Amino acid sequence: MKSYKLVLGVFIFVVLFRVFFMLQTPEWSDSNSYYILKNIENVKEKYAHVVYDPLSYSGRESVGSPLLYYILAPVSVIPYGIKILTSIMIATLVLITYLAAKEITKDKTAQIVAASISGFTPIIIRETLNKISPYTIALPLLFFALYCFIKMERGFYLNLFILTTAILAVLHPLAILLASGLAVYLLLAAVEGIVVTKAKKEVILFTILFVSIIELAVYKEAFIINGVNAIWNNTPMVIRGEYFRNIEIKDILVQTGIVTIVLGGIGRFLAITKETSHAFLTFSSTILATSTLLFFKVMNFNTGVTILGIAMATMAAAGFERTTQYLRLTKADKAKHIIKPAIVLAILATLIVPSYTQAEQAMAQAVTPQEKEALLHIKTTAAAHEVVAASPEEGHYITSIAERRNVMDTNFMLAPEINERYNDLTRLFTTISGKRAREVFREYNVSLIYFSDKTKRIYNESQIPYIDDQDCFRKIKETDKATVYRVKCR
Amino acid sequence: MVLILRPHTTPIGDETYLFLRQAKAQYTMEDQLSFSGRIHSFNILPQIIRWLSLNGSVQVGIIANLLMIVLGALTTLTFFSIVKTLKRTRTIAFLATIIFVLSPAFTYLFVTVNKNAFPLLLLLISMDSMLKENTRRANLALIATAAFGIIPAIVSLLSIAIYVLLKKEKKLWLAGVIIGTVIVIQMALARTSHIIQDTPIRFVQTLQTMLADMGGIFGLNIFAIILAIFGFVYLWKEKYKHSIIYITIIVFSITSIFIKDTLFYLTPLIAALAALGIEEILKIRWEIRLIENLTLLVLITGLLFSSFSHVKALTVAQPTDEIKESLEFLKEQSNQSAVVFSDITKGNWISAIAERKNVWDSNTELVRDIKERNIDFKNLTATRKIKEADKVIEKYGITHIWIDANMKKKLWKNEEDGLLFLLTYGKDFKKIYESENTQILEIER
Repeated sequence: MKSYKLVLGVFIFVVLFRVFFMLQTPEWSDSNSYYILKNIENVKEKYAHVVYDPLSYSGRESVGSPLLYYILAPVSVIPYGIKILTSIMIATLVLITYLAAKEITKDKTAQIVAASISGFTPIIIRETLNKISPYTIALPLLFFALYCFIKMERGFYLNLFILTTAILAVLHPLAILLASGLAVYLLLAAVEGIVVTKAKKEVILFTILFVSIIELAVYKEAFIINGVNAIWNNTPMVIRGEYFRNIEIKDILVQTGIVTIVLGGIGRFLAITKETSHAFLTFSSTILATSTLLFFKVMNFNTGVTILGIAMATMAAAGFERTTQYLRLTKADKAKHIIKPAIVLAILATLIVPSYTQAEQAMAQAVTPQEKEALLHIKTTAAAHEVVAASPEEGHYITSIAERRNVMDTNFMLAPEINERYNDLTRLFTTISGKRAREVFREYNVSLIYFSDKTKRIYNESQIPYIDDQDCFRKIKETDKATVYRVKCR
Repeated sequence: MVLILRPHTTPIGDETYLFLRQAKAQYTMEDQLSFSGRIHSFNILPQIIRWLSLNGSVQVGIIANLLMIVLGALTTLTFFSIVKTLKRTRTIAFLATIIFVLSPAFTYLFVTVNKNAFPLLLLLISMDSMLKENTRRANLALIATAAFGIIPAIVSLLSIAIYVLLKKEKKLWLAGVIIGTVIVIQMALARTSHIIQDTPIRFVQTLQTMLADMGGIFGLNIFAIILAIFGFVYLWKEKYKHSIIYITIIVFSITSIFIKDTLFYLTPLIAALAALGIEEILKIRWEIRLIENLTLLVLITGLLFSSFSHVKALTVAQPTDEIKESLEFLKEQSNQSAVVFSDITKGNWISAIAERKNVWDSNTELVRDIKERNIDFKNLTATRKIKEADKVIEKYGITHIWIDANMKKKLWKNEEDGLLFLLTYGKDFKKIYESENTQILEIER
């Protein structure tokens, strides 16, 4: 069978795998998806995204690129349109990795192996399955831009590179990684003694400048207001360590898959020692730039590992080719008809099983009917101006499903007094002192508390410690997964 | 453009109010309102405005604005002349001038009444004179900068030092000696050496101040810096010939960390280098025409974007009409001896519009107890204890407190944090004025 047919098969399988899980529920697996959904609805109704959100943080300005909302708004009219489109988009990574692998090796099995790895890297499943995330578009764009850069000698790919970079820069700050990766490419080329064409140097310069101006335009206000914290998305100090944590090999192994790391590692080793092609250099530069950003903790850990996973998957093509070549030199060559398919099967088994587990975990995060029932109760019973206290991770549920004001959510950029709010909210759910809790209620005008199984896990509390005071709190809705309390005294 | 687009009738800036107030009165060594009475560092600018307004017969505000416009035009022409003399091509001189005029520092300098406007022109004149080998005019221009305060004098002295050390010529020694003497005399009169900021230097804040795109009100434009890097590369071909430019940029950049006004003097250098950068980009034989055009487009768009967003920010800059109204109310409702407590950035407005004594203002040059006042300010704004507050109130004889929304955002977490708690519940504090963003409290004794 021709290799492109096989790759198309893998692509379709990845799409079906994702759609199979995602269609199990009409809900989404993270609260940020609901924020994006709210913007999409706004685009559909008013032809504009939300600039000032009166509900988030009880009123705040929004920042960031709105391109994703405008891309997804037309498909949202089709039932499950967003779920299917995002599945297809992220699955294109399979095709892009295959094309990139073709630039690295001529071994067709290796190309297909690389494509399959990128489709089933556990962390990609975890980060993008059943979530509306800009990464579903930004990641394929990033790697397609890199592929176009490799093939840039042909004018067609140059134009594609410019177009892809432009969309990526407007869509997501991941474009900064593209620009810094290309800058690293120049450095590595100089070290390796590889001649970089003048055209490529020009393109790199343009990319750096273009990405700078776009990101500056989009995030200027954030830099002015949040200062250097804007780099860390203004994430509260207490949880910054979770988002921007140290590189731990164990985490990378688990989240990207052992096979990806082993084969990718062999490929990377070859890139350093023997192979010095531009394709190798391009992906090595991306890996190096990502690792550096992760090392200095200026990149979200999960995002960084996801990118490493995809880049390593591409490099794995070379690793696979060299491993099978080496085996041919050994006695194992006698069983060559068994060994190659066995390796392929082993690779798939070590990826598909963890991916399946990750997919199930991602689906378990989706809003349950019971949680939705509680949130809809708030929507129907609470006054429009009332503020609902919920964990930041559930903040968007309050503004999007219950359509009421929250104290805070995970949209940290430009948010007012982020650290104080985070600490106050933690205090609200964990303090044993009703008096201290009342200070928080007073400060943020809290009228209702949303307390779900997720909140219990986040704060490690089976119930709110002071909530039994019936003079001050009344349970107004209770389901299996969530409870809503009304605050009577502040 | 800023003045046309501005929705408020009030002049922009903080220092503007200091000079307009000084221009309205006869010159005295002591300023009764600033820091509730102090010796101020000598600056001839208010006197020039006063002379031009025929001792106050014509509105000083109008005269000051006209003067700044004229200074802006003269600065532009002088800068154009310098670059033209250096490069001998009109195109580059024109480009450099456009970049200079579009820079946030230039916009800020000539829409506010600023002590650095005259000295910048004088420094450029001295440079132009040196290029035309007119040492006497260069010396005179440099000496004149010392009349506009200590900071311009220091910048002149630095420029002279760099020139003398690198060129090994003593042509400017006279200016150097006179400026040095003026600085020492002023310090001796005020019995302090306080010139630079006392607050610890933080990398992030410094970067934000130095870059307009990160919020610096007269910082450098990132795209001008990128173009200037190309200019640097261009000049590197004859690096020994241009060492004076490299050293000046390095020295001014380091100085601007401590004295941010130095950015005004760094801007023309960056603009000239940026123009050379554009020339360098145009000179390169680009392999891909599309990329060449797009790169230039991106850089020019970046420059324009940066400038226009700065203009937009300036149009809504404080003080607003609302602030002016509240301070006029304070003027009507308080005694002449009243002492008003507020943030350091509001001091000049209090003394100029309300015509009352302030506890402190941003003109901190040669103020002896600035550190102490800073500590007292922090103590008073942070405390919820009436006894602690009383100590500071009595120390400075504070009779009124003026607060605005910006101060609340900057200093307090909520309406009951620190001093705000006392102002709400303390019986000694009486709210006498409140608008959407401002409030005035009277301290009852």
